[in-house]
Order: sequence, then structure tokens, then C-alpha cells
Amino acid sequence: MSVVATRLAHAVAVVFAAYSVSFFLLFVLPGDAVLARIGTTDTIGQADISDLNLDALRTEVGLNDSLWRQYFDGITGLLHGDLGRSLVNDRPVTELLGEALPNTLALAGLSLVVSVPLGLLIAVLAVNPRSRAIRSLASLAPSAYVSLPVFWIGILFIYVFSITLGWFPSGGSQSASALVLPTAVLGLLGAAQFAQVLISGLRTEIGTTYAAVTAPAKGAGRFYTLVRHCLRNAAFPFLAVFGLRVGMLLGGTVVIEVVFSRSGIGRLMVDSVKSVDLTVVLGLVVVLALVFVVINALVDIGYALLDPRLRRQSAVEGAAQNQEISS
Amino acid sequence: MTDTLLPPRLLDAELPDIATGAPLDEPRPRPRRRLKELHVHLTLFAALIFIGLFPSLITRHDPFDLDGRPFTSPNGTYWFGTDEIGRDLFSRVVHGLQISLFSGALAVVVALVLGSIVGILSGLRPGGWLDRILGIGTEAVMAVPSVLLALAVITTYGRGAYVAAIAIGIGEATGFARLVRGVVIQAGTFTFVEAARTCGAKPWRIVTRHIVPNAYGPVLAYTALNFGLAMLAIGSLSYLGFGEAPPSPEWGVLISGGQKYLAHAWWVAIIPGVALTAVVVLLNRIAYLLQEDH
Amino acid sequence: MKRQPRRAARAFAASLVSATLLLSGCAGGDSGSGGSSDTPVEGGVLKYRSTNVQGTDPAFNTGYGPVVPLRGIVDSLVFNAYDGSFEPWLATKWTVNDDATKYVFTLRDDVTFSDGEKFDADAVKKSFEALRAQGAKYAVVNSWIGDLDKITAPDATTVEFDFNSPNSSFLQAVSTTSLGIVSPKTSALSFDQRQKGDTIIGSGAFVISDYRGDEGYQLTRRDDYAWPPASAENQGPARVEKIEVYTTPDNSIAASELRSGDLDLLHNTEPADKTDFAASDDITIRREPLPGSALGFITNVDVPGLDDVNVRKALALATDRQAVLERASTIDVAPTGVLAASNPYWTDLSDLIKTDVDEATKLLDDAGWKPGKDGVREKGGDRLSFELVYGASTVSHEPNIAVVQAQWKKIGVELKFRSLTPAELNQRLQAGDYAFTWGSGTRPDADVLRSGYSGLDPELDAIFKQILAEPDFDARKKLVTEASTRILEQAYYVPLYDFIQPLAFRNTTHLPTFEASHLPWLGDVWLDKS
Repeated sequence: MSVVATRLAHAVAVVFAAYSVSFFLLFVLPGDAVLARIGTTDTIGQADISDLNLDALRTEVGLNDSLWRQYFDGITGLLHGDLGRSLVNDRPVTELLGEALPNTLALAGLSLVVSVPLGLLIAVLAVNPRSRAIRSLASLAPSAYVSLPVFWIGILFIYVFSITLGWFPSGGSQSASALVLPTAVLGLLGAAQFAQVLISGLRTEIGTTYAAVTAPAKGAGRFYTLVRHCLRNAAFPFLAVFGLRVGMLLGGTVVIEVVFSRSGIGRLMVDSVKSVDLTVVLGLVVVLALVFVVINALVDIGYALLDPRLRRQSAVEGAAQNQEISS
Repeated sequence: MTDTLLPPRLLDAELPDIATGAPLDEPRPRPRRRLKELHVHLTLFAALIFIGLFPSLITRHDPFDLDGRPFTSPNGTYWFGTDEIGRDLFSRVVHGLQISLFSGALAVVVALVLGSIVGILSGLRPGGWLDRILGIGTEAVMAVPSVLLALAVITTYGRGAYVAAIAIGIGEATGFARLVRGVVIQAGTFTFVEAARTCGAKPWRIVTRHIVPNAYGPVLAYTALNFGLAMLAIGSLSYLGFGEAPPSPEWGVLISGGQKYLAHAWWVAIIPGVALTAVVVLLNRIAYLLQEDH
Repeated sequence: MKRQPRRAARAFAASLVSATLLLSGCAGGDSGSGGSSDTPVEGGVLKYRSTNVQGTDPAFNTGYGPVVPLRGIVDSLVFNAYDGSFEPWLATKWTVNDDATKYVFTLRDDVTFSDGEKFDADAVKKSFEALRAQGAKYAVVNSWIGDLDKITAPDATTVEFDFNSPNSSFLQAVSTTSLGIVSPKTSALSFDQRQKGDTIIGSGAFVISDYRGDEGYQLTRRDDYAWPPASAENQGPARVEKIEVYTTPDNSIAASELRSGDLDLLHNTEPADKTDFAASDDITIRREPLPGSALGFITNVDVPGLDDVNVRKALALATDRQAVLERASTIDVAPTGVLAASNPYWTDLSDLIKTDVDEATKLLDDAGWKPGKDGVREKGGDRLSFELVYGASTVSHEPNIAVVQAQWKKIGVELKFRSLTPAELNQRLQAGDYAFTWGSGTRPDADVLRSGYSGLDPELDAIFKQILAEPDFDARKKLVTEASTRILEQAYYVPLYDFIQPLAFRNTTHLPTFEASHLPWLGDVWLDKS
């Protein structure tokens, strides 16, 4: 029970710290949300900008309060579950989040559905087949793919599949066919990362005495040994990477969203940081920090489920394999 | 975690299990061949560093001069063609190598130094109050969106790849902190370290004399890996508009600038991407060889 | 003067066409036959793309791209025709007093909003007051309205605007889409409710029928629409049935959609595509420059170096505009004044815009600026190194700026340029922390000068004040010429080129009628039957 309480306290501390760090970082940025919302020299002459008195607007959105006042108002609001309103368009932050989230979730979910089986397949192909050629190809491909700049691959896909071949739209957030290309880019990347970690883990397992000697001696086939024994142990680091990947997909595939002009959490974050929209950025940070903490907890639970030994573990192994301090 | 620019760290997966013995692997090229391959790659990398230091040695045109016709495709005079206003793409890519390479190096150095300090301090007394606080701090930094971090650093210190590198480095430091912490903890279980402690050796001595010699392997491999990731991240930032500004020949800038002309002049956006990929592949391969070779 | 014959010719052509159409009785359109490309066709769906069209509040979205479709949902009191004249629209007539401090409009009485509410003077009053009440949230339109004292509605068809200080640009302002009249219900909404996307109700020829968030929205025509501007070809409901508005993910991809026929109308074409379209058989790209100011650099005269008129002149002389055009944008045209050639107040001042690199070098030498070790000129501790700042929408002009950068380098002046976030850009503008800013205003009015150049020069400011107080067109034009001449002689501005309005459309799309701001009047638009 105290384990749960400690974890909870730790989680709250992380969210609180992330909020605070982000808050003070935001105040370093030049300009403020009011300056961001009045328009630019395309639409309003610079003499008019220089003459504007923005104080009334600043007071209305609370930007004229002192730093500490704004900080405490924010925290108090958070504790009540109120994320405030955007400083740029007055809309409730929860509404903006609600609009951006489905797009991100769709892309995240779909790309995971692609990455996990694909990564598994490639990993198996990298260790199991007798043909050396297949094994080499399957182990080189993932490390090559993760070296690619994501934005560049996205552009390349657009060029080939959208501009040249015309098969899929190059962007947008609403049609199903607009999901294809970004899912492909992200799904392949996830598959490559999963494949890398699985290959590394499987190779380790295959080298152990059990897999190399004992199981075959008992009559187990190559593939059977692989799946029943090696995979289970290789699942630990895989789980950690899986958790990280989910977090990354939810938290901000901003480059993909920009390349494919999708709306989503990542884009919302970048646009809000650019216009110093404090409430939206902080709201996002809190939500994402919560997601981060929850995923960490789930990964740890997964570890414990996979290996009963881990439920009572020494600090050494726990530190080496876990990401949390367990008491 | 909410890291928009850096791919997840494979750190826990790649940490060799020092405590239980070196990992066996399936039959792989004999050690000598691997060493040879490593040497080849390192030589290549050294060549890249040399080119990065003296780019004008292999380029014939100035990267900022408008001496060609816009959008000429690769030919004898302009090996990579020209960009939208007639600058030689080859020399721009080569000069961009300098920026990408050295800003990536800066990011990794920042990450290594910061991460090592935090990691060592945490690892010396795992579970203690310093460890807990640093742990919360590390996770908080991981939770802060790297875009925000990058923008804050950039606006404080001005724009540019090197400033972006610092921001990336701070973000990457969290991964190094975890790695170094784990390594320090494991090393702490070794008998000779216990012995040194019993003899009354100061923590600093223990670190330099005992921990570092045993731990640098995985850290080195991780550094090589993160070098490539840092270069990709800096390119991404420039692509998004936060890193270098035009007319800088940094690769992210080249790619984002060339994106509009894909249909007319694909080489402007594609070739710098190939260059970036090639360097990162090289670095990843070096990282792989370093790690398994330990 | 070039303007007059063009205006007359256009007006003549327009009346000829209208007469022909009226006579051929094509108001009902034709059916069955394949739709020749001269006779307007009823029905069809117009597909339009531009960047950033998710906002539907006309008062907030003032840029050209978003406004093209928004022109269809709200009407304005007057219509600013292509030749610069003002025509009756929701107002049948109006008066302006001698010093432009009082405007009285007489309204039509047969107009309704799309939700059935009646259009009257009270609705107009509420519509404007809603904007005033929000202050800086509607910074742009409030700067157009100016120093308004009060609005009164003595009866249902009369509305009066009283100003504290003269505003001769108000007539042009009320003709804009952004100051189009919204229904009382919309006027009562809060700011964020208006930004929601489907809450704007106007009296326009179209209504918002489907809002798809970031992707865009759909407009459907109003079948009971009967009050278009006086000079519109089609005096009834709009010809096209629906308009689909999409956000552009990427301009070059949108361009390829235009080529393939998936798109009818595109705003914001990239330079490379512009050249392409100009030579294409299926696509037309308008060659008229945007009617505001010519594009170029506005100088901050408080920066050391730029406070000397000779240095400024040298920079203007060192800029080879033809070279910029050749290298970067092949269909933009060289500037001929501070205003673009299509601005109603334009006069030809091209003899004040010269290129003479030797003269530029001489001016700098004479002023005591000697090249330093790195080639950049310096004097007394200051260097001729300047930064140009602008927002994200100017990024497509960066290749052209790079050409200027290379040209200035040759005379020992360093130009740095970067795009900034709106927050940072405005902060630096307010603080005066910049050397050059990008000049681009698109109002087809004289006021575009004041908003760009006031505060630089007391003599100029005096002229601007006079312009604001002068409602007579010809008198204003004379003052504008005076102001422009002074701006060029003092080199407060380094003009680069007149920016060709990048509106491209397939030849199956017909845009017969344009406003002075170069917006197409959507009620007259028609598509060939496919």
C-alpha cells in the first residue's frame, strides 16, 4: 500500500515540477499572447501596431498580474480541474484539447497497430531463418530506417505517393485516406524501433544456455524455442520501448503533423508556444505529464506481470531495468 | 516522453547486463573483423570531421553566391544542381555538414556532461533524497515538451543551430542521466568498489578510479547513438523554423526550403536528406559496433 | 495618366457584357447543352483552397486568402468597384461632411439575414458596436474604423457615424468584408463564440452549411438573395450552388491539384508554380498586383546608419530590382511608386526609383563609411549591418530578399533577415528593435501609407493628417502623390516589386466581377458544366 502511495506522490511531484518548469520557460519567450493575437504587418500597418494600447486586453486575460499571481492562479485552477481559456482566442483549453486529441489518437493507434506486428515480424526474420541473407537484411533495415529524418521521409512519401502517383492525399485531418501516409511513416518508424530492441533481446536470449542447449535437447524446434522462451524474456526491454513510443505518439508527433498538415496535439503545442499562449501550453504540459506518468506505471505493472521475480527485486536490478525507484 | 523530436531512447534495452556477465550473441563476425569494420567507419567519420572543418577544400563555388541559374538539375558544373535562386547545392550541402556535425557534437557534449553529473550524483546513493529529487527533476524535464525547451533557449540566446543544440542537449541529458545512474549503481556492486569504500576512499576517487574505467563502454556507445539523434533533432528544429535561418546552408533549412519545389526540382529537398541520413547511419553503425565490442 | 483610360475601358466593357447578358436573358441559365464558355451556367460546386481558412469570423480574418469565401456570407454597406468607385449595396445612398467626421447612410429595407432577422439601422449599429466593444481583440478592423465617437440610428433606414477626428478612409473601410454586417444575434456573441466556426450569420449570398474544423468549411447559396451590388452581373441568387473551402496543407500540392482539375480556385501560389501557370493552357493566373503598397523594406530611421538619408538612398540605389525579378519571381513586376500600380491612388513615380551602384558606393564613401576588415562598412563604432524582420507569411519572399542581400554585400552592407513569430515580431515593432520591416499592406486606399510610414517624419505626418480629413478623391490623390514623393526622396522605403496577386484558377472557372481589393464577387462566379 505504501508502494502505491509513494508512486502517487512521485507522480504528483513530476506533474507539478513539469508545470513549474514550463511556466517559467514560457516567461522567457519574447512577446506575449496579446501581441500574438492582434495581427501582423500583413494586415495592420506597423504604425498602428506601435500605437496600440494593449493594456486593457492584457488585464482582461490576466497578463498584467504579477508572475507569482499568475502562477498560483494557474495551480489553483488546475486543482479544480479548470484549465482556463486560450489567451489567443478565448476558447476553453479543454475544448481545444478535445478537438486536437482525436486526430492524434487516431494516428497513434493506427500506427501502433502497424508497428507492433511488423516489428515482431522483422525481428523474427532477423534471428530465425536459416538463410543468412534474410537475417542480414532484416537486421540492417530497422537501423537504417531509424537513421532517416522523419520530416524528410514524410516529404519523400508525399512526393512519391501523392504528387507523382496521386494515390493518397498529402494532408488533412479528416478523411480516412489522409491517414495513410502519416501512418505509414510513423508505423514504419515504430516497427523499426521495436524490431531493433527485439532483435537485440532475442539475440541475447538465443545465446543463453537454455535456448542453445537445453530446449533443443528436450526436442523443441527452433521456432518454438524462439517464441515460447526467448520472446518472453526479450519482452522486458520491448515493453520499456513500447511505453516510450506510446508516449511519444501521444505527446507530440509535431513534425509529422506539420509535414502532413494535420491538426493534433503536437501542432497545438507548437502554435501555442509560438504565440506564447500560456494557458494552452500549460494545459498541454499537465495533460501530457499525466499521460507520461500513467504510461510509466503501466510499464512497471507490465514488468511485474511478466516476471514474478521482479515483484520483489533488489535496487540494482530494479534500477537497471526499471525506470522508477521502487521501495 | 513528450519528446517530439528525439526518438525514444533504447537505453534500457541496450544496457549490457554487466552484473550477470557479458551477453552472448548468435554467431557473429569474429572480433577481428568487427574491429576492422569499426576502424573503417571511424576513419570515414574522421574524414567527415575534416571536411566539416575545411569545407572549402572540396567545393568549387561559394555557398551563398548566386552564380548559377535557378533550378538547374545536377550536372558537371553543379554536382548537386542549384537551388531556387541559383546557389550551388553541392557546396551548400558540404557547408551544411559543418553546421550539422558540430552542432550535433555540441548537443552530445552538453548531454553527456549534464547527464553524467546528475547520473553520478544520483547513483552514488540510490534511493537517497538526492536521488529522488534528481529523479523527479529528470522526469519533469522529460515531460516538458522539447519544442518549448528549444524555443526558450533559442529566444534567450538567439537563433541558430548551436543554440538549438544546447536545447537538444538539455533534453538528451535525461537519457544520459538514467544511463549513467544505472551504470554507477551496477558498478557500485562490484567488490573492488565496496573494498575501496571500506578503505575510506572519497566518492570522487571511486568515480574516477573505478567506475569510469568500467562504465565508459555503454556510455560511449550511447553517445555515438545520440550524436546521430541530435543531428536529426537539430535538423527537425530547423525544419520547423526554430534553428538556423535562411540563407544558412544547414540541412534542415535546405529541406524545408526545398519542400515547395518538390514537383519542379526534387533535388533541392531530397539530396540534403540523403546526406543527413548517410551521416546518421554511419554514426549508428559506429554505436552498434562500439557497444557489442565491449 | 494611365489610370483613366483603363477605368473607362473597363467600365465600358462591363456595361457591354451586362447588356449582352441581359438581352440574351441568361439569368435563368441554360440546361442540357454542354455549357459554352461564354454563357454563365447555373449550379455547380466551386472548390477553393488557401492557407489558414479555418476562421470564419470576417472581423478577425482580414487576410486576402480567408476573405475570398467570407465575402460570400456578409454584405457591406457599399461596394468598392474595381475602378475604385463606390456603389450602393446595403446602403442606397450616403453623405460625408466636409472634413470627413460624419457619415450618414440610407439603407435598403428589403434585406434579411439568413436566419430570418430583418436588416435595419439597429442591426448595423449593433454590428459595429460589437467590434468596438472588443477593442484590441479586433485590432485591425478597429484601426480601420478609427476614432469613432458614436453611432446613431434615428430610424430604421438611417444610420449615422460621428468621429472625433477625421477619417476619410472610412468609406473604403465599410466596403470591406471584415466590416460586413452581421446579424444582431451574431453581434451579441462573445469573442470566442464567434471564433467557433459556424456561428456567423450575415445577409450574404451564401451561408455556412458545414464546418469541418481545420479542414475548412462549405458554403451553400441562399435562394432568396436579392440584393447584390449594383454593378454585379447577376442580380439574383448566386450562380454556383455550393462553395467548398479547403485549407492548403502545402501550396505546391494544391497547385498540382489545380492542374489535375481537383481544384477550381487557388490562392497563394508559389513562385515556381506562378511561372508555370502563366504559360499553361488550362489555368489562368491573374497578373494584377495587389492594390495596396508595393512590397519592399520600410526603414527604421532611429537605427545608427539609417538615420542618414544618404545611407538610405545608397541602399535604394544599390538594389537592382530587375535582377531580383529575374532570379526569383518571373511574373511580378518592377515597382513604380510606393503604392502598387493597381491602387486607386497610384501615380507613376518610377523616375524616382533608380539603380546606380556606383552612385550608391560614392554616397557611402562620402558619408564616411569605410569598409572594415570583414567587408562591412563602419564609422565611429557603428557597422552597416541591419536586420530585416517579418512574419511567417513573408517567408515565400525569402529568395528575393536573399538576392538583395547579395547585392548589398557588394557595396559593403550586411543584411540579415529572419521570420519571427507574431508575438516576437510585434514586440520588436513596438520597441523599435529592428532595422527594416517588410512593407506590405493591401488596402486599396490612401491610408496604407499612413499605417506604414507615420511617425518617421513630421512633414509626412502633416500630410497624412490632411489626407485623413479630405474626403474628395482627387484632392486625396494629390496629397498621396506628395507623400509618396517625399517617402521615395527620403528613402524611407526601399521598394522591391509589385506583388502579383497569386490567385490562380482553371479556365473552366469564370470570375467576371472583382472588387477594388481584387476579391472576386462570388455571386457572379460560374463554372463550366463538366
